[in-house]
Amino acid sequence: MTSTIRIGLLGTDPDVRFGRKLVLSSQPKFEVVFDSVGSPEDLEAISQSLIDVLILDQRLLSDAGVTFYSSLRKLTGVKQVPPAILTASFAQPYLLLDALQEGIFDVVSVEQGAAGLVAAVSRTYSRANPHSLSTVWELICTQTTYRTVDLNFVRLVDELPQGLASSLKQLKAVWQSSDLATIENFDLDSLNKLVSRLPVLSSVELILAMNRSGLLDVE
Amino acid sequence: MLRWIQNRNWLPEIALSAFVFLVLGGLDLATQGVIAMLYSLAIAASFLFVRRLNFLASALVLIASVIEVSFSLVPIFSSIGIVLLAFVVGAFSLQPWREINFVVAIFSGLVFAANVGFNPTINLAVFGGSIQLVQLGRVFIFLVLALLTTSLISLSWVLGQLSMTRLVHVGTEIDRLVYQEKQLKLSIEIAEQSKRFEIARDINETVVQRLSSVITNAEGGIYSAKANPDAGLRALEKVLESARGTHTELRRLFDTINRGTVVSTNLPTFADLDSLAISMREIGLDFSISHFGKRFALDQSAELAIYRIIFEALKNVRQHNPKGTRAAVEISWLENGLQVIIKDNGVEILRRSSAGPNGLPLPYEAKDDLDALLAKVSGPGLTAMRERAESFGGSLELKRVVGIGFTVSAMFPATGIRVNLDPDS
Repeated sequence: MTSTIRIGLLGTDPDVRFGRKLVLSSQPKFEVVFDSVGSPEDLEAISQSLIDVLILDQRLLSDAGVTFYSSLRKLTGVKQVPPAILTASFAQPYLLLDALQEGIFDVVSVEQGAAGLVAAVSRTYSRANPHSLSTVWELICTQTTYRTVDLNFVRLVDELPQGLASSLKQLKAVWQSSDLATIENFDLDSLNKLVSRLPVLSSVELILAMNRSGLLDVE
Repeated sequence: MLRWIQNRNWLPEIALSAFVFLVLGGLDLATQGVIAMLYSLAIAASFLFVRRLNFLASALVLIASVIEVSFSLVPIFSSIGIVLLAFVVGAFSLQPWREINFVVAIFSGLVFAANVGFNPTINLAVFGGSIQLVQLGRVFIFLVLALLTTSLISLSWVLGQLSMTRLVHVGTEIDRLVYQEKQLKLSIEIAEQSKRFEIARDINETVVQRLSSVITNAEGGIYSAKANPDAGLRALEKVLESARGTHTELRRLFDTINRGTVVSTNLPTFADLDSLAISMREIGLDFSISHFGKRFALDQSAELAIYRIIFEALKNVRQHNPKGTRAAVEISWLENGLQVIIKDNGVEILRRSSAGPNGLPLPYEAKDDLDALLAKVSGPGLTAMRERAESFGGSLELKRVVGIGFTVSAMFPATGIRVNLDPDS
C-alpha cells in the first residue's frame, strides 16, 4: 500500500468536480491523480492508471456511473478494478442497491457532505465494509430485485472447499432465519476468505450476487 | 326533441295532448261523429300524466276503453294515439308506472281489436259486394288485430325506452360533438401540461446539479481555505457563479410552472384565511375557522402547503355541495404537531332539500353506511393534498360521514413544519 491514496474523479459537472477536488486535496493523504468527465476513452485510461479509489458520479458523459463501472470491470477484470464510490445528488435506495450489486463499495450523496466523502474514501481504500448484513437485508426487502442466475458464479460457489463452504452455510442459516437481531450481529468480515476466491470485490457484493442467483434461498 | 321535453315541466305534455286531441280526435270526429270525441278527449288527456300523477294516465286510458265499448265506437285515428302514448310512456314514465301504463295500453289495444272484430255493424265490402262475417271470421279479425295492436304498442314502448337510453348513454349528435370538442380541449391541455412538466423536470435536474455544485464548492472552500486562501477564494467565486445559475434556472422553473396562471407577489399565509372565509361566505357557504392551542411559528413552505390543503378542501366543498352548506376549518396547535380538520355538512343539506315520498327529508339507508365504509374517495385534488401533506412528513385522511358530509383531516409532525426559534439548538 502506498502512503498517499491516489484518487480518480469522474463527473460531468466541472464545478462539482472542482469542489470535490478541493475537498480531497485538502486531506494530507489524498491525491487526485485523475479528473475527467467519464467518456468512453476514460475506461482505457483508468485501467492503465494506478488509481487506489475511483470516485465516479452517477452522471457521466458516456453513461450512468453504475454502467460505466460495470464496463470498467469487464475491461480490467473484477479483481483488478479499483474500488469505487458512486456520488449522487440524493441518497436513493434503488441506486444504492444497483451500485452495490455492481461491486461499487458505497454511494455518497451531496447531502452527506464533504465529511461523508472523505470518510468513504478512507473506508474504501482500506476495503472496510460500509454496510452491515442487516442494511443489505433491508435493502433487498424494500427494493424490487430481479433474479439472474449466473451459472459461472454458481459453479464457483459449488466448487468451494469444504472449509469455506461452511461460512456460506452459516450465512444462509442467518439469512433464512429472517431474525433481524441475528442478521444484525453477523460479521461480514467472516466472508472475506470467500471474497478472495470468488469474482466479487466485497462481502456485500458476494451476498447480493448469491441472492441474485437464488443461492441464499436454497439448502 | 327528447331533451327539450326533459327540460320542461308541463308544456310538452300539453302540446302533445292538444295535438292528439285536435288532429286524431278531429279525424275521428269527421269519420265517427261527436261521441268519438269523448274517446279522443280521454286518450289525449292521458298524455298529460305520463311523467307525473301516472295513475291518472292509466285511469284515463281505461275510461277511454269503457267509452269505446259503451258506444260501440271504432275510433281508428285516436287508437293510433295509444301507440304514441306507449312510446311516450316508454321514454318518460318511471318504474313501476312505465310497466303498468304499458299493460294498460296493451289492454286498451285488445279492447279496440275486440270492438272492431265483434262489432255487429262492421262487414267487409269487397269489390262492391257485401260479405256477411261469420263468427269464425270475426274471431280471425280479432286475433289479427290483437296481434297487430299488441305488436305496435310493444314496439312503440320499446322504441321509447331505447330512445331515452340512447339519449342518456350515447347522447345526441350535438352532445357527441360537444363532448368531442371538450375532449380535444382537454387533450391539448394535458399535452401542454405534460410538456410543461417535462421542461420542469429538466430544469429541476439542472437546479439539483447546480445546487450540488454550490454545496461541494462551498465545502471545498471551507476545507481548502486554511491551507490555501486562494483556493478558498476560487471556490467562493464558483459558489457565487453556481448560485446565480441556480437562481436563473429556478426563475425559469417558476415561469414554466406558473404559465397561464396569475401569480400573486405574496404567497398566501394563515393570515389570508380570513379573507378566504369572506369569499367563501360570499358564494353561499357558511364558513368558520377555529384555532385551538398555542400557536407557534411555521416554516414558510409548510404554511403555504397547509393553506393550499385548506383551500383545495374548501374548493371541493364549494364544487360538490349546495348553497347553505356549513364548512368548518379547525386548526389544532399541538405540542408535537399541527392538525387541520376541514368538515362540511353538504350531504345533510342536500338530503334535507330533497323530500322523500312522504314529504319528509330523505332518510339515509344501509347503502349509505356501506358506501361510507367501502367507497374509495379519490381524485387529483385529493392526491395533490395528500402529497403536500406527505412532503412535510404528515398524513392526510378523507372520511365520508354518513348522512352529514365529508371530513378532511391532515396531521403534521412539529419536526416537519415548525420553525426552530431556539438559537442554541
